Amino acid sequence: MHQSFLRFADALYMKVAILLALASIVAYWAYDPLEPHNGGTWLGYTLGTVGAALIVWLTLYGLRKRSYRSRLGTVQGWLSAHVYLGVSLLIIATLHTGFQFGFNIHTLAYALMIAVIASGVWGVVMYVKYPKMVTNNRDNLTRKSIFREISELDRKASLLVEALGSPVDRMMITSIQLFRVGGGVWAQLSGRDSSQMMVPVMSGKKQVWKKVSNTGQRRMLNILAGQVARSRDPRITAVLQELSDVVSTKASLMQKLLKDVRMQGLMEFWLYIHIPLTFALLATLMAHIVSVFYYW
Amino acid sequence: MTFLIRKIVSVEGAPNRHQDFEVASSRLTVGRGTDQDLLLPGDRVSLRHAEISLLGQLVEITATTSLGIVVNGRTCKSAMLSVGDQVLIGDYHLVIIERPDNEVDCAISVQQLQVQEYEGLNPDSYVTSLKNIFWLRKRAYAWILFVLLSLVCLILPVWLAQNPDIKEHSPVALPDDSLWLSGPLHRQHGFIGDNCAACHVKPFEPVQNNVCTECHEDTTHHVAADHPANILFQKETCASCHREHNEQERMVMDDQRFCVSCHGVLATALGSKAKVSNVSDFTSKHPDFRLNMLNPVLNDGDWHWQNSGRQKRTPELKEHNNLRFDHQQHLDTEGLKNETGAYEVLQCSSCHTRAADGFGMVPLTMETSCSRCHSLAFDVDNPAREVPHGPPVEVLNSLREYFSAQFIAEKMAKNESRRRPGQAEVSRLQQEGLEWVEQHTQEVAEDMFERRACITCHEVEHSPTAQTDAQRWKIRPNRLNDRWMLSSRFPHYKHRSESCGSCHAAQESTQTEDILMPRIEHCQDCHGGKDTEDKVLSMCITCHEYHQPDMSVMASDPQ
Repeated sequence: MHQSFLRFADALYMKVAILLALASIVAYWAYDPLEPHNGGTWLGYTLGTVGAALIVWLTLYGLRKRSYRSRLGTVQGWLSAHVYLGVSLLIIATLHTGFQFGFNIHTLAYALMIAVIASGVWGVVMYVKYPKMVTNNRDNLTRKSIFREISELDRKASLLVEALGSPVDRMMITSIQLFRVGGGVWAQLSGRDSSQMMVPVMSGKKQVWKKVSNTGQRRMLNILAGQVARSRDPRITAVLQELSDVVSTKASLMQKLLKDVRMQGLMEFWLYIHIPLTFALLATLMAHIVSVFYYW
Repeated sequence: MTFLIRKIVSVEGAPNRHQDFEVASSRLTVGRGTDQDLLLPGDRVSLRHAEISLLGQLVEITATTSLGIVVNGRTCKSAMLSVGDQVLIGDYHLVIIERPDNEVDCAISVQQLQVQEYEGLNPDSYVTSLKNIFWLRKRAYAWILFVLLSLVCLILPVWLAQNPDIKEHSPVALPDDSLWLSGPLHRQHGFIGDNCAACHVKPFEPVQNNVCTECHEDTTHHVAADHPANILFQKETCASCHREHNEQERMVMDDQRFCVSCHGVLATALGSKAKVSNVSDFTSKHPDFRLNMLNPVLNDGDWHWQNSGRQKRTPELKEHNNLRFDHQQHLDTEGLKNETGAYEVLQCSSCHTRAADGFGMVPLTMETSCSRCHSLAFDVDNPAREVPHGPPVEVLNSLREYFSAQFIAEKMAKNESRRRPGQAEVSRLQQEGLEWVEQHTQEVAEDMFERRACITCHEVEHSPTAQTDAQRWKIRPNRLNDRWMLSSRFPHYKHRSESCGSCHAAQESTQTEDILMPRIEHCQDCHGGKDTEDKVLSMCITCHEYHQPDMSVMASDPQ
């Protein structure tokens, strides 16, 4: 039975993290230093040491994840600990600051840490929410088979329009050619359908072909519906109706595909923030520790 | 129910063959999943694609996938089928055929169509994964940021801190150690600016005392070098208490726990040698004030003044200042005669003035506080003429001068000197003058010293047989105590809203020796310790200073 990393070993690491955070809060509350709370009291040093050790250890998760031969705990256990202890860092590091912030590298390190944790929490939300949605959306299909299915529909449509002749023929072919999915970061993450097609328009007395948006194949479907309404020949009407069927099926498959790309992208995108910021944090943390003792 | 499945296998160049098999089930499930009744492999078929069931003579097919099914060329979700109807599932062609016998409820032929190659969509030509976006590179960004931030936050500041010349001559602002500033400097230290090396002399070494004492050269120790408790302070530096770069700008540690950690048990720790008591809070754990007395001591015939040090407050403790003064009498509510002869009600401020620093009082003198009413005149005919307020010799000389002038003036008035006197006449006049002047001088002096003026306030000793002026009358030296409390300076200016009498019981005092200093209970009426809720919060340093004025200065410490 599949078990979420959040519930790993009866949420053992959640309990550890809560204990750690509670212990920090109690210590902060009970300890009343002669100077204002800051990173330089003995509690400040303690929380700082624990926090820095945690950050280094949390970073090592990236290594552990890749070393498939390691027997040092399961990756799922590591992930569970990574998530919970990472969140507990929010409290430990905040108490370490003594709520003293400024325009300096110390606060920069803190801000980077918050950003890393926030992106990590975002990642957790993605991992908890999306796999199920992805499965539901794909509906037993693979991405490749959705492509094949669309391809099959395109073949069918291109065979059907041959019987009709232009201009529907040409519009259909352009709608097939100008089909769009994915692309840049924004195109993938927004899941917007930027498919296009070409339609004939009158420019003066001349007919020219112009590219127009065909989001969700709606333009194509509208054109086909118009053709059906004007059609006098029942044979042609039947072909047009079949064509409409094919295009609307394709539209729903495209929707699935776009959603799939979008969710897949969202499940990965947070890592493009989480990992670079983690390294930025490591560099700043190093500077924070060295500078504090450089000017002791 | 029994379904007959006829699988048609087409082999090129030969007639179609078929295989039959039967499935007994209420519904025939169709899909590529291994649990399906009719298994149709191929990725265009869903795991569970459709279900076929019987409704009387009719066959019903229902799509269980959103892809739908194609029945007789039309895509639909479900359809009623009869013999001859064709269904397309992926690349499979299903036809409802005649039942061969009555034991079979429904017969279906299944044929896999030749897959026609169609140059349709190539999934690889679409970028559908972030991994395929060229410029989006997790690790590259990670290392770029790591190197960049290491440079800006650490390497460059360290390099510039060690090469201040480069920083000075750089035309552009470089990331330097000001990025490390963890909190503001105290306002008073603001002039140091961002010159970290002013205090942080050596990297990775805590700030040493000598950088503080360079400016704070008068700062003194808390205990004497030979004090047994001195060992406790040896490991501490200025910075142990005076913490810079804290958000809450505060250089002086006002938390009394710092003091109490020693003084709470100090007397116990020092045992019989202790000159102090245990103190832990002002509300109830503070001893009564001990007073420093100024005592006159006769040494080799001369009077000296000696500070007694802190003395316990007992009824026997009296002030000895060799003066005579009655506070009660001076504060008579009906008033006293002043210089104009009118009755004037005196206030404390008629005689006492607060010192300019606001802490103590201006020392009292005859001229500033007494002489307005207490005249030193001696001649009723000449009330403006006074003897000086000084040593008896000066008083006597002043009187002699005055009476000499009087004698001459009197003789001139009688024309006795108009004719030229002979030698004998001169000697007689001189003798007469000397006697006359000396007689008047002694009479007036005796009156003033012993009956009327000096004796009012001073202790006067008279030796009638003494040969010299200096020995005839002696005024006992007097001095007023201006340092009652050695461990604290009382800020009178902070207590302006109080009347003098609320602390100093002058109204009840008739003797000069009365001590008018308030007891601690009196202060505790308004001042409370650390946990006070309704009184003025008073920690140790509210009244006491850490750096003791009479200790050696820190700047003289061996480094």
